[in-house]
Amino acid sequence: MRISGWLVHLTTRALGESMDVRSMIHLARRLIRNYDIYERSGFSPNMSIPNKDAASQIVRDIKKDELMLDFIILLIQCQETGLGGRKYRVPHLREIINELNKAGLIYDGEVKMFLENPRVRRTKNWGVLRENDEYIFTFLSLDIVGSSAIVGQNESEIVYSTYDDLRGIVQSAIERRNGRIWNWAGDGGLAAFYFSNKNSNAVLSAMEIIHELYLYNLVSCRLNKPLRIRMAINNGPCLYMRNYGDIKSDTLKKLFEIETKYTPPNHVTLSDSVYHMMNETIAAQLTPSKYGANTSCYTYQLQLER
Amino acid sequence: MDIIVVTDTEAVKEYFKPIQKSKTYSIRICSCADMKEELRRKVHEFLLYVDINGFTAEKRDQTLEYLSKIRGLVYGIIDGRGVLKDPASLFHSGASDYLGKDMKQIDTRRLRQVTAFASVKEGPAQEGNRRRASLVECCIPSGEDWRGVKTGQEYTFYLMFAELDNQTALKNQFSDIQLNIAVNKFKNFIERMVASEHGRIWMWNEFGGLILFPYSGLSFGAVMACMRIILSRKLFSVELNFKKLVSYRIALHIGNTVYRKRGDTGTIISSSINTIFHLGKKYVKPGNFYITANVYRNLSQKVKKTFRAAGSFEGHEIMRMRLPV
Repeated sequence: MRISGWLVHLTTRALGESMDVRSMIHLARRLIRNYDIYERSGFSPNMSIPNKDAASQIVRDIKKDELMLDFIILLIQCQETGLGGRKYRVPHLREIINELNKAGLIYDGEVKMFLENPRVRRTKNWGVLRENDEYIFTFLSLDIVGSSAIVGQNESEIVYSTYDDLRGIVQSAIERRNGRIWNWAGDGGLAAFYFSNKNSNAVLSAMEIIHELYLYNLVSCRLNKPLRIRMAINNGPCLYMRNYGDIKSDTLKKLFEIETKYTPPNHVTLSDSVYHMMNETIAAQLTPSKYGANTSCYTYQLQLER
Repeated sequence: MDIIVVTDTEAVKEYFKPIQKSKTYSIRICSCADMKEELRRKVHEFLLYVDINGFTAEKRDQTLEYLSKIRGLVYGIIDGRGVLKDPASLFHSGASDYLGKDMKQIDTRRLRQVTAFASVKEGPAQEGNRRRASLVECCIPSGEDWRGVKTGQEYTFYLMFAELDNQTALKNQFSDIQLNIAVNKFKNFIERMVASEHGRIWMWNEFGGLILFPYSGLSFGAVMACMRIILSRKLFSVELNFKKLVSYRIALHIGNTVYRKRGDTGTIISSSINTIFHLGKKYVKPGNFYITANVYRNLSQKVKKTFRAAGSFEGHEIMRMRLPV
């Protein structure tokens, strides 16, 4: 993310006008271990550094290390919850947040992070996740059942447009719940959820996809047979990598295993770790999986009364 | 939609080959001798093509005159040999399509154009000729969207009733403010779900209201929107933080009413509006979605399979959607 000069100026003023140099250093050390302002600024350790100079140096260093957003979040916390047992009145915070809003970021007080505004843009990392850092994600994988047969038995134009329609359904359900499609390979893909109720959001997205696909098959599907999919949901740690091919993760490995081995067509299967995060209303819709002799998974499918 | 082709020769099927696999249109061949009987039996929207090849001049004139006299009939003429000297006159007397000797095949796009043309031709634009007497009731198509709908004029709409169930329990469970919030959530949810099919909330009471969808005589998007709302009950309950599964019921009917802007509907007298309110309030069971027979007839065979007979109400046959279990 590009940091404007105005944002740097505002942050410097906010820091300099809200606390003494000692507290500033303490704050900087939360992000940069063993931060030494004397070494960085060239001031002699037996001299006192003016507030303005200290703030200016710290914000410059923070910006250089690409930690501006984290630092602004710390400033927000200083005002809202306090730092080291003391609350600070941080001026210019509203202006700083407005400046970030203009850059397409909104502050989510629940997760205490700046997230990209989905109305402005949608990127794979929500604008904030860093490459090679580990995060706890909830993943949803989707696969079209019998894709080779579909391709063999239908005109290619019909197949392409049907797969496009499916992607539209999937994208709408996932992005409405702040998920991101990380990979789409024509006949399936992978979506990730990271913020707020990520487990519920993944499951609700999957349920919506199943419902929408049912309606799609009723009125719009031009294939010679109804389009069928299988989905799986699992959560766990994973390194964020910009390039999908570089991601190696046991969480994903288990996800694909659940999808291929334990998920019948038109079902979504949840790992037990996702199931246990569900509230009562959703959990009541799920049944233990009887497919593939795996009883630790739970499934959902749409069934209408006879 | 049904395409009825009146012909005595098999060769004419070639014209309709591109739409044989269409999910939207189904083609049926009918002999010339059975045409009048077929038209009498037909009770819902259809498109008629009459093949005049092989007709004597007298029979041809008689047939064209007969067709032009049926108000509201959407029809086209197949003239494979190009015997008609003035095809444009067909359109003056009410035809909506003409397949001449150079026309070998027609596709779904052409059919959409024909029905759109028929709708405009007989729709709100021409006041004197706008009442289209469909063979089931007086149908005044309001179009695919709201562009052609004018305040103060009568049109045919999809009329949807939606209301929260268990109202006494809701009143006991929530304070006035909480209840207001809950009902507003429901209203916003309905608004969002019907928007893609051009549905608009028209009247809203304490726990629910009436939604209008434009009716062109072809699409059944309103039905799909209602089905989607029923299927989304669990998602709605969870995402909007209701502690229990929320129950609501829906009814859908096709009927006529004068259109006035929302809030200015107090003086409207319409039997269709009475029907939909009575049906929704008195007959639909909690958590269900009911449609009247005129809605059901418009559905494709696949969609029809998701409905079951549910008796009759005030002279209307009623069908009920099979609910998710």
